[in-house]
Amino acid sequence: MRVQCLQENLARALSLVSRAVAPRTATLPVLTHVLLATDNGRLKVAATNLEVGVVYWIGAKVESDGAITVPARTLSELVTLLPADKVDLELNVRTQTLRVQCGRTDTTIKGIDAQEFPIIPSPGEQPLARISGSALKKLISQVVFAAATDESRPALTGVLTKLDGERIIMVATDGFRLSKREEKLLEAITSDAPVTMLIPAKALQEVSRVIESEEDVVFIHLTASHGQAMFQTPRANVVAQLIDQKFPPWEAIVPQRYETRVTINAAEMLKACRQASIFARESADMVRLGIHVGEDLEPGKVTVSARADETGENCSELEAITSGKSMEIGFNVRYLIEGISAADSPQVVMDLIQPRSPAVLRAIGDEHYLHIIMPMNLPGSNPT
Amino acid sequence: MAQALYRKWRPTSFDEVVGQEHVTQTLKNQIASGRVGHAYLFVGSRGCGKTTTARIFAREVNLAGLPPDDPATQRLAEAISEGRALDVIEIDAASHTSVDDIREIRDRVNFQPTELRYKVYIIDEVHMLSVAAFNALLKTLEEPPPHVIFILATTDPQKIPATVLSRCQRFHFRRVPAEKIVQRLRQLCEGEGIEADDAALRLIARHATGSLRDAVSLLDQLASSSSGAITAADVREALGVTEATTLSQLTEALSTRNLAAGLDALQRALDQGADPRQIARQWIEHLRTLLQLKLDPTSAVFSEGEHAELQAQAAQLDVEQLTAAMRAFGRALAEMRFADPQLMLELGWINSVAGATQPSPSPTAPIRSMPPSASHPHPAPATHPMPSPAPRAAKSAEPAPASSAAESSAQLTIERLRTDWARIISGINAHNKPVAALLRSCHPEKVQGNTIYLRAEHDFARERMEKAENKESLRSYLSQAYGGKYDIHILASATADEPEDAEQDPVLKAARRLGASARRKS
Amino acid sequence: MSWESVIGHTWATQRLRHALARGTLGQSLLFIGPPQVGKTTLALTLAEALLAQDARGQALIAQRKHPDLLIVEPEGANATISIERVRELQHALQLTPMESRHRVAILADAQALSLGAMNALLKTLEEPASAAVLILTATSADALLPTILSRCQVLPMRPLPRGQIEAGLQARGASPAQAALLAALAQGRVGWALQAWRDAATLQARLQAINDLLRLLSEGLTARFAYAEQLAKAGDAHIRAVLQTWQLVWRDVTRAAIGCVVQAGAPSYGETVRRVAEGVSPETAAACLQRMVQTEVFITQNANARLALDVLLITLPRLSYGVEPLSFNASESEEHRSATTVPAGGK
Repeated sequence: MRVQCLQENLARALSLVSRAVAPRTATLPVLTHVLLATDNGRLKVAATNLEVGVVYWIGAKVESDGAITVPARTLSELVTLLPADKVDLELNVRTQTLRVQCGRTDTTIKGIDAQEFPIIPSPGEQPLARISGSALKKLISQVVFAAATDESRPALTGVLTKLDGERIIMVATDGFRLSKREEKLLEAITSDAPVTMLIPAKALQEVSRVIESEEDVVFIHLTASHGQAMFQTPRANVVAQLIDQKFPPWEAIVPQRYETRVTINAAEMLKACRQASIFARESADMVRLGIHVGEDLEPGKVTVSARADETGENCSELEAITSGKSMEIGFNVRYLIEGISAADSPQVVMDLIQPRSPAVLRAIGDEHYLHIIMPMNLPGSNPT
Repeated sequence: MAQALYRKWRPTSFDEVVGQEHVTQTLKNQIASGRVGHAYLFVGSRGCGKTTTARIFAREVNLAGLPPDDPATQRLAEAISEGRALDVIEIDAASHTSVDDIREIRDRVNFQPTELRYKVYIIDEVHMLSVAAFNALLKTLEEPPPHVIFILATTDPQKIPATVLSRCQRFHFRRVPAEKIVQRLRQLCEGEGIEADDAALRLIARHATGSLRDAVSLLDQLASSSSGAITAADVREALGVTEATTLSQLTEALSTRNLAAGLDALQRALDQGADPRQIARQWIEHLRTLLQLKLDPTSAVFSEGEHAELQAQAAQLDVEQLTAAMRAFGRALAEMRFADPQLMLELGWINSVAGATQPSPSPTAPIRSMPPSASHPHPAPATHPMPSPAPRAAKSAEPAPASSAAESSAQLTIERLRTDWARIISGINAHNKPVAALLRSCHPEKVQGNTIYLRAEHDFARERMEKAENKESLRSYLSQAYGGKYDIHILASATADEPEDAEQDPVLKAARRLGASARRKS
Repeated sequence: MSWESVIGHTWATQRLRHALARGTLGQSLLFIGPPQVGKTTLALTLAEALLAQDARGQALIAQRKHPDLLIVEPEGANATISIERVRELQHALQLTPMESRHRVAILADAQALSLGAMNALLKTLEEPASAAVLILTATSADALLPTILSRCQVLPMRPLPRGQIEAGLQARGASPAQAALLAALAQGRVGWALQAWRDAATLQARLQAINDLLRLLSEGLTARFAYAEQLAKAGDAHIRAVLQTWQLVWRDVTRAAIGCVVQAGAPSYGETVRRVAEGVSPETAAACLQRMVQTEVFITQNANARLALDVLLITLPRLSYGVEPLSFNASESEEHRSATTVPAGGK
């Protein structure tokens, strides 16, 4: 292999694939490496940790074809320090070493045979679906954070992704909250039946990273074995292993009615929540929301309060548009903050039924986002 | 790739749970009358249906009152049965023993269930929790939110603090009787199209000792790998048990004190694939039957032919021979954990013959009690016994005799140790959780000088505690806590080593003669 | 690493192949047998059957580098498998495979799992993801939680008969004499035999231990105590290895003294055993064997090694004649000489 490329392109490629590199404690040494391979006149840079694989192509002058893997960290650290100039890469097949020449620097890095690198499948001819980069980014940012981070229930560490006709829906839940967003695909999927897959939340974060421009069109593929999902942008391909588990039946959780509706300024609400959170640490992050429905034409209000026996207490009052009946309800304040922030809207709506039923958060003017938070048991309000 | 049968055939309703009607009926009544508790403790040995019943209970209690034919109800039922309902949470306490794990549960119980009436926490192997974790759990059990039900399951209720016990409704699960296991296996065979002899199923059931999962697992294994109908011979092969003829050959060899014939019989059994441990267990069982017949010829119930055959075997041996052989093999079985099992089996045989031939002063270890200097009653012509090595030994190291070392640090008494035991465990838990977990299965038995004898509840704990680093961890903790230096001795749960054993050990005896005192390496 | 290349264990391989062919292979398997009997080799062979699709896949499995193969072994000073390693494994196993239709995890020496790790594993063994196959190996069922056993399909693997090891070594290119001697000294552990065949030092160490024993048989107490002093310094692992080798030889001596069939395999080895047995009564032989085992147990339990070895060497009978040391070269030349005079299989 003999290739010439630009330092900034190589640095960018290494940075984009870096999070798919396995930690140094990985059992297979080759997973701590990046793959460099020529591919139809371009240079392919790839990494995988057996959960997600990221492939990135950069323009290069290919003099002869070939492939090698080299330690990701070593190469990244080196390339960032090289001058913004042309970089010459040359593989010595016999010694499996990579020579990196740039300006007056000449480096040799020991590699591992590319044969040992796991095969990252290439996208097939026909994609399952196409979606705009901006729509996919928004899907990911509004859903992924609600997935569970602990592994005790593996299904919950994934994001349920369903493609049906012209729609794509993503859902994630950790058992205490649920986030859902729906988007339109650029055209109907090429499969006759709807496709459902459970994608690791971490893998979707990588997908979001490789969408370089809002105008990018992303092709979604499913491998022939249906074991991997692929997200292909003009210059990158992210391959996610799927979680081989069943997702809980989430539709049943979404309330179909409400008794109380609150419309509130998101920024003010976030500020109130952040203040209350200081005093909620002792009580498992619980804050109390008081919803006061105004009489006739009077405006309604919402109070956000928390108290800690040792630290003190805090209460903020906010104006809000309220309807239905007044109530007190407890929430985990961290979940409230995350749910409202993700709505990414100046005004949010909260629909409530009663203090023990799921609460629904929506963004005004964007009916595609839906967030559900389970209330907490308010001390002293136990019906016996 | 096939799903395990015990998983595929896991009961999904109370009525399918085998052999626990006393539990399922009560639970059904509670649900029907709406008197459901907030904390349950399911106690019983492994594989008898605790977790399965807990899952069914979680489902039934949540579906009670819902229209059974409604698709929404059915979807919920299915999700709970498949273990993917958000509100039914299974936790394995053995790998979540810490107080932080329990605090997380405590914080999370405050959340309302997402779709079910009750959030159900099923905590398996709950006896593995640390003391601090139990305390954290206790607070939640005292004032559980109204929407939460805890089901704690354990094989070992002894280790659950009384404060926790008193807050739970307790249900005892029984070992499943063999004939019910056979019935269930028969059902499975019909459902799966597996052909199996009755004798094979009976043998499986007998070896499962009350654990339905063990039985179904074995059936699964046999069905997956055999081509025709499963026979008793297949089961024997899989279990590594030997045929009855091996046992009668051994009996014959024992009665004629024919060492070679016995060793050859054992070798044949091993060559046919039998497992040394299984052979030892079977042989001990066989000897017990013969002894029983000898003491009371009408006692056991066998078929006519069997009875006559066993009677004839029993007649060949006297009580002395039988008991000596049982002791020798009991010992061999216990030592198979530390040494080559096949070798131990053969030595067990040699000892049973030798033990019955020459009554020895130490009944537990006939051969071992032969003088180490090899002054044998029948010395072979070319063998020259070693002269007594006393002179050399006198020159070697002269540490204080064992007894005086013991007196120097005798302030730790067994009473003190027993009173402080829980505290010691939690102290050790702070820096060495695995050892603390093991010590929960060990109890102070006696203190002799500076030697502490702990009784392990099961072989597993004993074996683990025997490890040098684990002993050292306890030893150094005790030294810090009480001063002095201690020796730790772990005793097996039931039959094996008594503390006196150490005194009878020939190495120590010989050592005493050599003028040394036995010390353990530290 | 095809099925045909597995030495011995036909019972186990037949069952696995049969289950594979019928699609009835369980997802949680447990291979139980003594160390170096071939458990990991069989596990890798099964992994190859499940994973490898081409020569590259086969090569990667042989090198233990296949992306869909996870191998967890005891590690660290305590040689344990921690709960963290089990959690990593569980994380990987619930994902779909990278290149194959399965993800295979081999947990070698599962008895080294910490108590917490064993418990953490129960759920995975009971309800593995649909593509996952777990293969546990262990030296003894007693060292595992009963709840692990009842969740696995168990395959017992016994030490191999000497003849099978001999044939297996010859099939791999060992000379008949080499194969016979290695098989005689292997204690049924085919893994040891293969290692000793490739690595002369492994064989030398065992021969050395045997020859030391043969020498000591005709030596007096002074020489024996000097030997004990030396050996005691060598560390517990080495002492145990020596004691195990002595047990191997002495078991055959005892059997010969009692008058049992001894399948010696190599004529030179059979001759050595017969020579020693001539000078020892059955009772003395048995007592000494017992002491050898007991000494190993004491060492395992951290007793004073020096003292235990002293007592063992006192128990060791003294022969009035010397026994020729066993040597590799000698055995080779002897083979031609003795083939007609000493029937293979000892007395």
